[in-house]
Amino acid sequence: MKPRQSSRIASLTLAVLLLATACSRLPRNSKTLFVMVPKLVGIPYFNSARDGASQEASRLGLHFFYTGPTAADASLQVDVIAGLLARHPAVLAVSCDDANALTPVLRRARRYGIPVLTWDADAQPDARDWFVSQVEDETLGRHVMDVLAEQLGGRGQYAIITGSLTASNLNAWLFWMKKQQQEKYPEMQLVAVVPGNDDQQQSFVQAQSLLQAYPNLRGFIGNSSAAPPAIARAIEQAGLSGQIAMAGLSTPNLMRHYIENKTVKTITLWDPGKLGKLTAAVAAMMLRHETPHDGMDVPGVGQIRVFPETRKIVMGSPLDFTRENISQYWF
Amino acid sequence: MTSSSPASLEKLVNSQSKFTKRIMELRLSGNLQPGVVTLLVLFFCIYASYRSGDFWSALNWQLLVQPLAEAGLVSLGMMFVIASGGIDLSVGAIVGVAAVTAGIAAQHKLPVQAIEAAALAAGMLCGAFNGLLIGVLRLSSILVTLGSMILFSGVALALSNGNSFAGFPDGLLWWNDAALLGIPVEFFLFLAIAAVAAVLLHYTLWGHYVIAIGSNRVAARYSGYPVALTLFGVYTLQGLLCGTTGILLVARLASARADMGQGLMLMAIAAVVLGGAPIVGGAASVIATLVGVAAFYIVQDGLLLLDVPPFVQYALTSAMLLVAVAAGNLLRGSREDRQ
Amino acid sequence: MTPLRSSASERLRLSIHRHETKLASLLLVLGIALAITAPRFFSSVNLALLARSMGVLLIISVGMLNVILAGGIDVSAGATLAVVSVVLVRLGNRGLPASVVLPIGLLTGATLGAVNAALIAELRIPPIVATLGTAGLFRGLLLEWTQGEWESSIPPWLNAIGSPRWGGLDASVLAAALTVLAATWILHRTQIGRALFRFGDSPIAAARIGISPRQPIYFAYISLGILTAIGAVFYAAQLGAVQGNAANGYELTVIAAVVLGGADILGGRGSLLGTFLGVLLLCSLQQALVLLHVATFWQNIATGLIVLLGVILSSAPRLHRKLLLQQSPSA
Repeated sequence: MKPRQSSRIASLTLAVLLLATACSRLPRNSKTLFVMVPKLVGIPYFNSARDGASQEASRLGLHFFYTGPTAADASLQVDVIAGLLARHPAVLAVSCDDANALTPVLRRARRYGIPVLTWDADAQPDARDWFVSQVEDETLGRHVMDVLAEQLGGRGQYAIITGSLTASNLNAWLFWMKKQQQEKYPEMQLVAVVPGNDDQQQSFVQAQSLLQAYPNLRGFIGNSSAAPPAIARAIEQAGLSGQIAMAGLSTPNLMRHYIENKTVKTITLWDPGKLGKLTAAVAAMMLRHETPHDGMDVPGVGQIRVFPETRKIVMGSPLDFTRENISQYWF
Repeated sequence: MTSSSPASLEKLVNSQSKFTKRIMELRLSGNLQPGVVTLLVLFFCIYASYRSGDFWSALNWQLLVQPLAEAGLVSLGMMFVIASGGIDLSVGAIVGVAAVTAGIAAQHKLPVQAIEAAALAAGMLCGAFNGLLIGVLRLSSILVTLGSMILFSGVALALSNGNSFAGFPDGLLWWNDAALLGIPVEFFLFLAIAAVAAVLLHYTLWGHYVIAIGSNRVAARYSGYPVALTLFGVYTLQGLLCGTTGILLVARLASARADMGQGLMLMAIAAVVLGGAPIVGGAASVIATLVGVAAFYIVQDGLLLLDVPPFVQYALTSAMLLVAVAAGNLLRGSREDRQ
Repeated sequence: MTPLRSSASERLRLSIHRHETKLASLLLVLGIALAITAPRFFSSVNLALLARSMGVLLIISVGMLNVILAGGIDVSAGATLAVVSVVLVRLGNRGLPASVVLPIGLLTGATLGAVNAALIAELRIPPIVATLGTAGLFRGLLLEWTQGEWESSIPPWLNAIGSPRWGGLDASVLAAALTVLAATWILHRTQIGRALFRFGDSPIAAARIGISPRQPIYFAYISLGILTAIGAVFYAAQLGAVQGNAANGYELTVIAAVVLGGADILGGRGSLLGTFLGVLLLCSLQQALVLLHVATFWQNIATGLIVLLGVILSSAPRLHRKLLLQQSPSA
């Protein structure tokens, strides 16, 4: 078949396809459009949040749309949000890859009259109407350090494997973990903070190398959902289950195997599904021009704390998963 | 869609050698690919605007042209690199270095011009490093830029300690906020630089050398062309353009991070190729590159507004690249691989 | 000096020898430096860890060597690795036995490689563009299929493959050794291997002696696909989990290893010994940097410098010949 012929047939087919699908217009329901943007799409933690938000949104009569960057890259996220502004959503909720980088585009959204919420990870305070946070940074950081310190008896070398080095919320938690250790457990020594970049393989390799580099290493903290399972795997494969302590943030599903075989005693998190529900509930409140107040009870979430001066909403306390309770959770 | 005038070029290039004539023939040999791509994008725009009412809104296009301008600058640099027969994998990392340098300058409360100059200088330095290894030492461009990509990203991380910088003066942020007739100044800057690039490519001796080297490096050297110097210039120019992109990104995001510009490398290569430039070098056209960049951003933006899930967007834009290049090949007829 | 009129194979052999000795001496220098500064590098535990970390990279690098020998390149290897890992683990977790799952995995890898080969050989798309496109296509479709869900457990038989035994080594080391042996035989003793070298050196000359481009191209990319699939088996087995965005950018590490090993990016020149040394250099460098407590940022800088050094070393023979060929060195 000559090139001209094949290209003619190709363009004809394309035209027919396009005409067929163009016969329907997408609904323009911007009055109830609730757009939720995670740090990146494609990891279980954010999938759970999405599911919770989606359920609650449909219950409250909002049209739910979820999209985000394919990598935890702030400039990609800004591009996505800029593209979304043209759809004039009724409410926008973003978990920010970088507090500074997201601020200009969120400010712009507010200038266009779109209410902006941040959830899970904040931007600058003047760029959003409310920040829906899961746990207070300080509470979380101090608690995770306590979990580790208890296993170590308050002394020994430990290392931290975090997600991306530029993630603002991870860095905030790191700050409080280190502070807690310096204040309460001066005999513990932090030997290294390395990035795992939300990739299990990288975190795994880092954990293995750290075990070799510091023969007196006795504990790890995994500061992002990808790191703890990888660290646990490294411990397990090195035959050191039970000899190396571990604390960190991850989902029950990812850690189930290691908790059940006693490689890991406790893993901490909160329920991201509830966080999603809460975000949707706050979004609905904003559409109804209601203001959240301290101590109010949100269906499906519980009692929340509200701080009007910083315009921050806190969902609750950190949740520990152990052998005793992990069977109750499935996310 | 090449735009050049044989007469002006003839004036500059005094030698009447067969080699020179052949070069000019190749450039005017009619690249149909930008035309094909433009048509496809036009179809897509019509389709998207019918299905999504927001596609043609002024707001959409205002917001679209900013990342387009940034990627466009890097693509222009990549156009020169590819035309000279090379490739540059380190562009994203250079943007990161430039951004971080701007951040450090801002931290020291330097005036706006100094911040901009620092970023540009950092970009040029990185580009010159590449230019030295590729032009003077004549090492393979793909390998050198692979190594320098790792090196530069390490430098950016080390300089920034993994943090992001904030607190940039309004004079710098002006680049993001200012608009003329509703169109962001970034876009005008991009168009101005594109015009300069077109002049460099078609009306200067240097541009002629770049094409000649990409076409047949050995013949170019035997014709007495300054190969080392030309290539050094190509990569330094690329570094300069990356530095400019770094400044624009910093202005738009009001912050600087080491990993800014990560995705730009693939985007730039894809845009140049989409415009129809042969990856082996020897031909270039600013308009074709513009078409390539615009195609990617318009299609991506349209897919977003059409509610296409992010991963499918990614797959579709990659498929678009493959289809366009294959179509371009078919239309152009067979052409021997020059390697 | 080397006379320019010597036969092709003799020139080939001489230049290869020169590069590998340089690489080996670089490794020797590194080894001595490590023996002084971090003697723990040479403990049996650490060496076993090193061997295990090299397994997957070496297997895939052999495939990439084939592609580079043929004058091509493949930046979709990371995406292929991710796809096959997910396929293997998902099917295995559904209860299918290894005898079914493993062949399916290999077939998937071969098919993806064939797609690349077809784009390059039939549609004449340049290798870097074709594989750039397929990388995005494979990755995007994979992530859309998994919807971002990670597999956090693997079937027991897969786990057994990845578990360390025999003094800290695991099956990946054995597989890598077998792969290198098989590849040596295929590349140097079979017609298809020699065709690969000839085609990579000069497609026009190869066509004149009757080697059509199809054979080497299909062989190279499909072999890379199959070897990536084998690598995926051990990747998943060692990690104990898979995520959709795994191995992002992994192909650049593979290419770096092959190039450090002395393969000429333009094709036609390279050796398995060199590839092995390249992999050894990269992996031991990474381990050494952590052992020496080098901060993460500096690890990138060190790796980048070593790669550049390797590039300079590997290009030396070609540079030398160029200098001998040309008459005006100033150009």
